[in-house]
Amino acid sequence: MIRFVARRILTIAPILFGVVTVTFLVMQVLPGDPVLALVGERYDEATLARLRTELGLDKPLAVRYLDYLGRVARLDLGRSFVTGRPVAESIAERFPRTALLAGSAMLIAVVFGVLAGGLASRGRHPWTGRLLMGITLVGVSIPVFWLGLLLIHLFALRLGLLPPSGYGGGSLRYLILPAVTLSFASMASIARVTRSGFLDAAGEDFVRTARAKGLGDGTVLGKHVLRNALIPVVTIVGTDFGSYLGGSVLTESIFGWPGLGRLIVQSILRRDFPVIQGAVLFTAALFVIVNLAVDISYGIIDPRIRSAGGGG
Amino acid sequence: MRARAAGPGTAAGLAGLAVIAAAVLLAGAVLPHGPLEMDLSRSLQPPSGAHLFGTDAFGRDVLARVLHGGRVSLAVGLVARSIALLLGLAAGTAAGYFGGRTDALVMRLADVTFAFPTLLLLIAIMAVVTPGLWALCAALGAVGWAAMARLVRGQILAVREREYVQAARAAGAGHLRLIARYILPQCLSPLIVVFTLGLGMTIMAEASLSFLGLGVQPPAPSWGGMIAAGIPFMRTAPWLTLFPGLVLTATILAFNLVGDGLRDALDPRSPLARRRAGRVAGDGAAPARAGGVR
Amino acid sequence: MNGTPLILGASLLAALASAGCGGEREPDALRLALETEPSTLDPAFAVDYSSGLVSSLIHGTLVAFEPDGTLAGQIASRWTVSDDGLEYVFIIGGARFSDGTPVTARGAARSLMRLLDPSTASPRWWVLEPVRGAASFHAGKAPMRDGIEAADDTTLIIRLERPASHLPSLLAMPAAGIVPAGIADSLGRGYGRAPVGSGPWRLASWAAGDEIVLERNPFAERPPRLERILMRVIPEPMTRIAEFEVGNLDLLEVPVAEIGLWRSAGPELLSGLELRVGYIGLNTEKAPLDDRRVRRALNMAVDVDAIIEHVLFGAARRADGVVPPPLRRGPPPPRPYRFDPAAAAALLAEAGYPEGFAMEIWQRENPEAGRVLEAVQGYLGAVGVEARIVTREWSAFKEAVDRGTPDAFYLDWFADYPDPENFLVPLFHSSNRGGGGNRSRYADRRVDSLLDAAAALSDPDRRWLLYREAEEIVTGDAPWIFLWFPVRHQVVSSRLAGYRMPVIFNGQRFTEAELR
Repeated sequence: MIRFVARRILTIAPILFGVVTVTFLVMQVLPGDPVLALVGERYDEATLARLRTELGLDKPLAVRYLDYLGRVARLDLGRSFVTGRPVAESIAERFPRTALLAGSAMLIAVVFGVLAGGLASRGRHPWTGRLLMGITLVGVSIPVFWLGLLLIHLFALRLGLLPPSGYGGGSLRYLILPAVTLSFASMASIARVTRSGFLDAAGEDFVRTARAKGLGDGTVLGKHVLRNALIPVVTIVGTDFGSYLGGSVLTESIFGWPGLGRLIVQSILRRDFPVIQGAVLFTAALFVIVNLAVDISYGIIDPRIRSAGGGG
Repeated sequence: MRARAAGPGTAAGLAGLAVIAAAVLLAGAVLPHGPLEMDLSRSLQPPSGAHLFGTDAFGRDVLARVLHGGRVSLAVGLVARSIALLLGLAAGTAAGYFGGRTDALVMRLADVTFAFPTLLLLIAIMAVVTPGLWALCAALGAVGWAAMARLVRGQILAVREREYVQAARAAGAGHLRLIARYILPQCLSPLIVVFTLGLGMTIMAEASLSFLGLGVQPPAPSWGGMIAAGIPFMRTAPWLTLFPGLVLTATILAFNLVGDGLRDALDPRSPLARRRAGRVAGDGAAPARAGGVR
Repeated sequence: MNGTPLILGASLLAALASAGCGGEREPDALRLALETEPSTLDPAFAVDYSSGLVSSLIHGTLVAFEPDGTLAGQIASRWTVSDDGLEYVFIIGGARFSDGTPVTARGAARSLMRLLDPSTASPRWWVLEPVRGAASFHAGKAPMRDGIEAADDTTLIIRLERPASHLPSLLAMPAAGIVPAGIADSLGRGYGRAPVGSGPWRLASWAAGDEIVLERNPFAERPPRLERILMRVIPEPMTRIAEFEVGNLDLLEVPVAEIGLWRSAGPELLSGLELRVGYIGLNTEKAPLDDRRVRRALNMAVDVDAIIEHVLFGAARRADGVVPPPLRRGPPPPRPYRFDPAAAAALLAEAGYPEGFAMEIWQRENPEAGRVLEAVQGYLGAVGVEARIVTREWSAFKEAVDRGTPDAFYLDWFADYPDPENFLVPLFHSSNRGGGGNRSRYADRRVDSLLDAAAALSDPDRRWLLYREAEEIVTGDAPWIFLWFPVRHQVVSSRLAGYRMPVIFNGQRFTEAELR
C-alpha cells in the first residue's frame, strides 16, 4: 500500500510539469496580444511597447519559460497583467466558492444517484427507482446552459421560491439552483453504476454465502453489497469532483456565481497569462490530488484491491 | 448469465435514434421550406400548421432549420468521436503493446490531457486553426483521445500475454499483424460503448461551445447554435429554443440509453471485476471528465 | 414506506424555499447589474466600460458631463479660455477626497502629471495629448515645462500645443479623474483596488467577481441622496432580466429582443439615441475593397432599414453618416445610399466584378452581431458577393482587426465624449490607422486637413461646417457599410426616482436618485 501510494505521488510532478509546459505553449500560440486587452479602443504603438516591457513580454520565449518554471517551483504564481494583483490571492478568493458549489453538487449527485440506482436494482421500489434513473438521464442530456435558464425561469420567476442568481455570501438559498444544475452531470452515471454494482454484488459468491448463513437482507446490503457497489461510485466522484473543483464555466456564468471557472474564462478572454497559468496549474493539481485520493480510497473500501494493487 | 439483455430503455433509444436520423436525412426531400429561405414578412411566427415549429427572426422555418441543424450536430459528433477514437487507438495500442518508455510517455500525456481544463484546450485549438467545421471536430476530438487511449491500453495489457497471442508471436507474426488480428478485436466491445456514450457528450460540448460563441457559424447552425441564438428570445419567442433544445436533448438521451444498453450487453464483467483487472494492469479505464464543458 | 425519500426531499426543498423568501431589500441602496467586473478603479488604467463607469462614480474630474451630455464644473467651479484658445484656467475650491483632504490645484496638477508620466505607463495618456509639451514628456524626450501648472492652491492653468476646443470634454473622461497622487504613487497598481476620489461615491467593499458596494462620500460637495449603490456582476443577460423581474435590480438594460415585451407591459420604458455608431468596416487597403466603387456597391446592396426593423426590432436609427444626430448642428445629411441591388450589381460589374467575389466578415462572439451579419450575408449574396462570417473571441478579433487582417469586420464605436471630433478623428484620420481607431485604414488628405483645421477652431458652428464636409467625403468614399445609431432602452424599478438616462456612460452619477 505505501509503495503504491508513493509511486502515485511520484507521478504528480511530471504531470504538473506537463500541464505548466502545455499551458505556457498554448499561451504563446493563442492569437490576441495580452497588451491589447490593457489599452482599450484607442492606443499607439509606443504604449504597447512600453507595456510589453513592463510585463516582461519582450524577453525571449525560453527566458520567460525558465523564469516562470523557477517562480512556480518557489510557489510564486506572479501577478495579474490586468489587475496587478497576486494570482494566488485571486485563486484563494475564488476557490472556496467553487469548492462550495462543487461539493454541494457532488453531494446531491451522490445522494440522488445512489438512491435512484439502489431503488432501481432491487426489492420494493423498482419503478420509483427507474423513474428516478430516467430523470437523471434526461438531466444529463439537457444542455447545461438551457437547463440553468429554465430552472431560473421556473423556480425564481414563475414560482418565486429561490433567488435567480448570485453567491449570496454562500447562503443555502443561492446555492440550490446552481448546485442542482451542476449535479445532473454526475447523477446519471452514479445511478447507473450503483444499480449494476448492486445487481452484480448480489450475484457474487460471498453475498450468496452470507445469505445462506441466514443473515438478514439489511445486513447483507449494508455490509457487503453497499461496500462493493461503492467502488465505481467513488471512481466517478473522483473524476467529476476533480473537474468541478476547477470551476464550471457555464453554470457559474448563468448563475452569476463568482468562482474559478469564470476567473479562468475571463482571463482567457483578456489574455491575462499569469492568471490563466496559475489557475490552470492549481486546478490541474487539485484534479490529480483528488484522483490520487480516490485511488487510495479503493484500498480502504476493499482490502482485496490493496493486495492486488501492491503487485501492480 | 451476467450479460443482461437489452432493456426497454435501449430499444427506445435505438428507435429514437432511427427516427431522428431518418428525419434529419430526409428533411430536404419532405419539407416545403428550405432552412435558409428568408421571408421577413413572416418573422417570429409561433408554431402553426404552415410552420410546425414556428419561424425565426428572418422568417425561416424552424423545423427545417432543426432538421438541417441535426446534420451538422450529428456530423460533428461522429467525426469528432472518430478522431478521438483513431488518436486514442493509435496512442493506446502503442502504449499497451510496446510498453516501457512509450507506455510511460503516452500515459503521462493522457494524464496531462485529463488534468487540463477542457474549455481552455478547446478555445486554444479553435483559436489557432482556421475556424470551421473541421476545426471544431478536431478540437472536440483532440479533447477526447485520452480516455480512449487509456481504455485501449488497459485492454491490450489484459490480452497481451494470453496464450494465443504468445503462440502467434512465436509463429513469427509481425507487430502490426499481431495487433490487428489478435489484440484489437478484444478491445472492440468496450470501444463501441465508449464511442456511443461519447457521442452524446460531444454533441453537448459542441452546444456549449456554441453558447460561448465558438461553435458552428451561421447560416448553417448546429442545434447548439440555434439554442444559443434563441436564448435572447426565450420569453418572446420560446419556440426558437424549445424545439432545437428538445431534439438535442432527445438525441443525447437516445445515445446515452443505447450506450448504457450496449455496456450492459457487451461487457462480460461487472464493474468491480473490471476495476480489479484494471488495477492489476496498472491503470483503470477512467471515464472522461464530466460533461466536457459544464 | 413507499415514496418516503421523495416526500422528504420535496418537503426539505419547500422548507428551504420558504425560509429564505423576502428580506435583503436594502431600503436605502440602489441595486445595479454590471455585465463584466471592472478590472481596476484606477483612472489611469480604466479602459473598459465597467472600469470607466465605476471609476467615474468614485473619482471627480475637473469638469463632468450631465446626463444630457453638457459639461458642468465638478472639481473646478468655473473655467475660462484665452482668446487664442491656448490657455485654460480652472478655478478649484471646495472639493474633498473621500479621506477628507481637500483637492487643491497643485494636487490636481500632480494627478494629471501622473497620467502623463511615462513611468505610469497609462494607456490613456492621450487624453492630455493636446497639452503643451505632453507628447515629448510622455515619450521621455523632454521634461514637462508649463503645460500643466498650479498658480496657487485654487488656480490650475493648462496650456496647449495648438488650439483644441474639445479639451474640456477630454478632461471629463474617466482617465482624467483626479486622484491623490501621493496615495496612488505609494500603492502603485494596488490603487486600482483602493481608490480615493472626490466623486459622489466611495468604495465600501469589493468581493471579487461578485459585488462592488459604493457608499456616499461624506465629503462630497453634492452628496448623493442615497446611502449606497450595490453593483452585482451578472454576465448572462437573461439572468439579469430575471433579477430585475423578481425585484432585485433597480435598473435594467433591455435587450433588443425584449423591447416589444417591455413596451406593451410593465414599467415605463426609457429610450434614447446612443452616442454610438454601428458599422461594417471595409479594409480599404485590401483588394477588391480598395476600389471605391466596390465599397459603394456594398452599401447599396444591404437593406439597412429592413435589418433595423427585423433584427434590431426598430431599436436603431439608420446612419446616413458618421456623427450621431444629437451631436449634429444642423439637419441630417441627405441619404447617401439607397437600397438598390440592381445598381449595386451594375457598379460591381463596372469595377470588374460582374460575378461578384468572396470576402470574410469578422465578428466578435455575440448573438446580436451574429443575427446582423446573417442578414448582411443574405443581402450581399444576392448581388454575388459571398460573405463568410468568421467569429473570434474579443482578443483575437481585436488583434486581427487592428493589424488589418480581415477584409471586413462588424464593430461599433462608443463616444468617449459628446463631440463630433471623437467620431471623425479617431475613425478616419490617417494618423489613427489601426489601433488609433481607424480600423478600415482609410486615408484621405482632404479629410485629414479638414479635421486638423476643425480642431483649431473654437466656434462650434464653424467647426461643425468643416466636420460636415469631412463627413461627406468619408461617406462618399464608403470605407464602411454604414449601418445605424443604436437606440438604448432601459427600465427602472417602480421604487427608483430621479434617474435620467444619460447620453454618455459617465453622465449619470446617481446623485439625484431616490428610492420611494
